[in-house]
Amino acid sequence: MSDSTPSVPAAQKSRHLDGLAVEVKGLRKVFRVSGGSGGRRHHLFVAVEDASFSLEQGHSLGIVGESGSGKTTIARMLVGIEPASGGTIIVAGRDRSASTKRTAERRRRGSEMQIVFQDPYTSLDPRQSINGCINEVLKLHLTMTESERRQRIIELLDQVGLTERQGLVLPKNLSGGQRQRVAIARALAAEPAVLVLDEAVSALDVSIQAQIINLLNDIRERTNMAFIFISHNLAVVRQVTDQTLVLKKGVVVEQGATEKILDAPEDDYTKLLLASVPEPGWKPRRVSVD
Amino acid sequence: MTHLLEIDHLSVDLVTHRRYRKVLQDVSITVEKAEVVSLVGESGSGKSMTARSVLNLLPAQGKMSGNIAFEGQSLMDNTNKDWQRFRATKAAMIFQDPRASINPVHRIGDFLTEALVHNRDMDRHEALERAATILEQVGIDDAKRRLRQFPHELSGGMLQRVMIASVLLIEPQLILADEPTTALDVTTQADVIAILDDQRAQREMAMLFITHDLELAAAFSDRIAVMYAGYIVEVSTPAQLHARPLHPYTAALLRSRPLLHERTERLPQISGRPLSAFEAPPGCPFQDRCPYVQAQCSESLPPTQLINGSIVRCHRANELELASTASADAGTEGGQSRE
Repeated sequence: MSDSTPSVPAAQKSRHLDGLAVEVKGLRKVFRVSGGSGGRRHHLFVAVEDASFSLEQGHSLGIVGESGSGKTTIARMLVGIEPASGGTIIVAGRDRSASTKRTAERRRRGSEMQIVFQDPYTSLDPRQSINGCINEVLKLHLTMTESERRQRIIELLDQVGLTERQGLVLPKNLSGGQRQRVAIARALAAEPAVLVLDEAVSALDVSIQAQIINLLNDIRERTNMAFIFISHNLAVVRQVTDQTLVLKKGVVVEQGATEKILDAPEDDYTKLLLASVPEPGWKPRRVSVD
Repeated sequence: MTHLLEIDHLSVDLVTHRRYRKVLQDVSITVEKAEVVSLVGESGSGKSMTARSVLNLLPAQGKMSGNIAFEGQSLMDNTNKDWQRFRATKAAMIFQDPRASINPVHRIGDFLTEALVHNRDMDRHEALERAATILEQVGIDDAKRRLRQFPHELSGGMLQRVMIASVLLIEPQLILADEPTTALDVTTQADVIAILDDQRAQREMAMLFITHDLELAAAFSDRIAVMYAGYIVEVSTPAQLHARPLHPYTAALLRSRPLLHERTERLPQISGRPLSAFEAPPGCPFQDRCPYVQAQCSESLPPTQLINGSIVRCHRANELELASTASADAGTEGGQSRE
């Protein structure tokens, strides 16, 4: 990975308001599930119940929990893939609780918050070159001349440790770790105030995971961007977040400073999660029957 | 002494893109009765292929050389029928994704009893009784009802327990487990590992456990083999591996993990990416990413050497002093050599 520190455009630091990057109050998601028991056609499934949190510029929030905890549903509501059933979401000072069909508004929301998904194999267009994929985002969200865009693409690739030459190829020519860097570069291209990472390092090999974690920490230091880091991996969350929220079946069971939650957890579920992580001296225990 | 499983100088080539490519190179490892040996490595390191070779489950046109012996008998001249018998009685595999490897249109009971009824000529009712007993032993309540259910009615953790039950049922001497808990939540993983290890130990079965998770491997293995680019680069006990890794790759892998109990200012990362066996340069496969590389590393493949009971494949293993944590070597400038 390159050690050079590419200049961050002034715009990236000042485009969004100072203070809170994200403010979420009473967020709720209810899914209508067809079928189900008791002869009813539908039943309601509460995926997220009354989640509230806030995140300052330049800070990083971890959302941890197991499958079915609602962590990905929260991410999807934040970026607007999924409409919220209740509560408010304010990103970069603007309310986005209601979904919108207006192109301009959707584009603006995209420029405020970007997301990196878990699987770098399915989140890139297989027929589009890396340069093309980043160029598209720059065209959409920023006003730049073609040569400025070309320059910026090189900067972005360098920032995530990819070469100019790698920008010319198709995703299939890159490894999983390299593709995940492309996904990160593409998200950074929009110069968002907030970057949501949904299990973005989970599928990576350990040696690549370390590279991406360091990269993310570098970006946060350089740009004042806020991160929402969704993960089941508590060691990774310790490494990249300062605040953490623990979710269990849609309910926030504990939230606060990451160090406090990992060093002195109060909720039994958080304790169970910590006790389940293999580490030196760990003995597997029969803990739960699902 | 006869080993339960002895893999000796195994090399495997597979056809990809119409040409043969190396996936395993000179792999030698033994597993004793009731012993747990973990194969640890990153993607493409060859750990799954090693396990598949043992059961002759390589993709079509795969070429194997070297020797695999079970209880002292070579398996290399096995006919298809011999392999079938071997897989039905001596060794069985637990795969990563139970949903992909359990037939979705058959009931759990049919899946569990198939091997007993067909290979052991057991009466179906007796087989179902046995299956119910084992399901309860792997922590599944209401076993009789579960036997009538279909795979989609069970959660992932539950289904992996069914998979474990299916392996225990045929009472093999060797279990091969290929990332059996990678797709599961951490609490479910703890549960499934506890059950697997408990039941295995009670029956004195040996296990070859494949994982990318060094800590998980350390938790219940007797020995750990670290693989890189198709080679085994180090074999050691968990305690020794974590205290004093001998291969620079092992040390780098250990140091690059984020730790649960302390934040590392900056994770010591390994540059580059893990290589597959066919991409590895001549000489040491790790040379391009190794901070201790010297001229000899590109000149010849390091032989395996025995140091303090551990096996290592590194030219400089005798002189290097490596640390397994980032903090441990803060004072020694990244774990410099002794010279």
